[in-house]
Amino acid sequence: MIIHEYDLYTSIEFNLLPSRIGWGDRLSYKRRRRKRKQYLPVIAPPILGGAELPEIVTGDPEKVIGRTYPILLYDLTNDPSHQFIKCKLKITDVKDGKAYSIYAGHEYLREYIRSLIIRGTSYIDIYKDITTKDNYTYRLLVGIYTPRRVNTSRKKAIRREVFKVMDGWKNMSNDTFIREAIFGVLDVGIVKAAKKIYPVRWGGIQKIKLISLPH
Amino acid sequence: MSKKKEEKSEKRTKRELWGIAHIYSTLNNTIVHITDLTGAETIALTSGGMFVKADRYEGSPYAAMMAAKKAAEIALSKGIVGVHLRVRGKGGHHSPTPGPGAQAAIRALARSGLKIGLVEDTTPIPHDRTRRPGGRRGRRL
Repeated sequence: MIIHEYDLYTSIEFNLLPSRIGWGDRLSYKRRRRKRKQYLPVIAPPILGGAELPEIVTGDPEKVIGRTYPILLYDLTNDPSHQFIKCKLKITDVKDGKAYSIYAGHEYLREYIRSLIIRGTSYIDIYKDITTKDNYTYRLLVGIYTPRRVNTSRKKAIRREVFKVMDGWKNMSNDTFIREAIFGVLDVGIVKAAKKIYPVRWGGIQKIKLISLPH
Repeated sequence: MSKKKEEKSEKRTKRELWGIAHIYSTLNNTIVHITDLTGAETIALTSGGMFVKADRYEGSPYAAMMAAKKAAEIALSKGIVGVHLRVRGKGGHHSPTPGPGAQAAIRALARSGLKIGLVEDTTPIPHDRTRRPGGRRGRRL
């Protein structure tokens, strides 16, 4: 067990207060009150390297399950192009004092997205839910940024073309989908499809969110 | 001997515990809330109103500075080494920019000895919005 110089303690549990149990022994009260909190390192999912990440704090390890843990994708992959992407990990299991996580989505930072929006140009947003072969459902936001202003019929045409490409992703396994989404393989297909209608300044998956996972 | 020394040094190494400082700054108050990285465990929670007597000063930079200083002090005493910042204003159909206390709070956190990681703006901005109260002719006093 890692011993820290400072340790956090859980707050007073209401039912254990001396007034509640009619027992005024100060020492035992103090002992009960100062229950030490645990520090759990988070283990990244194997698809993202499986590294040990900075710790989280908890009074009860079971309570950790279901929490989300945000981290820059750059910290996981060491790829400079991932500096503006925030990744979310969801903790699903606690074993041997370590919290194990799965990929629960990623998104570009707000500053980066704002820098893409320029006056006199168009932004086409495309939302779609994708279920992979192994029943993981993700909600995707694809953004297409054009160099000039685009009329609505062209926007609709771009959406139609991109939807066709996105329909093909349903046959992927979860791991392949995550890998290809993060490393920009899927973005290439999107841009290629959108370019048939109008030139593209920036195109790709802006945001992914895990909606449901198999039991 | 060298092995023993190494063992000792390993035991003494401290792990760096990071947190998130949520700074919620409006015209009327500033709340500084330091949590662990998941945001579920509170480590320190202070507000501008805890450090000034008059209600009208709750949102002032001075109150924000005092609140951030106190929160940082508590966090440091509990072993937090650095924080990521999440600054937000009121948002919605109100002002999208953080209030006057935000900058003072950030500066106070940085000066207190905490390391600063990622700084993010998390003001909730709607894609559309509901109508602001006050009516067509504005708020009439």
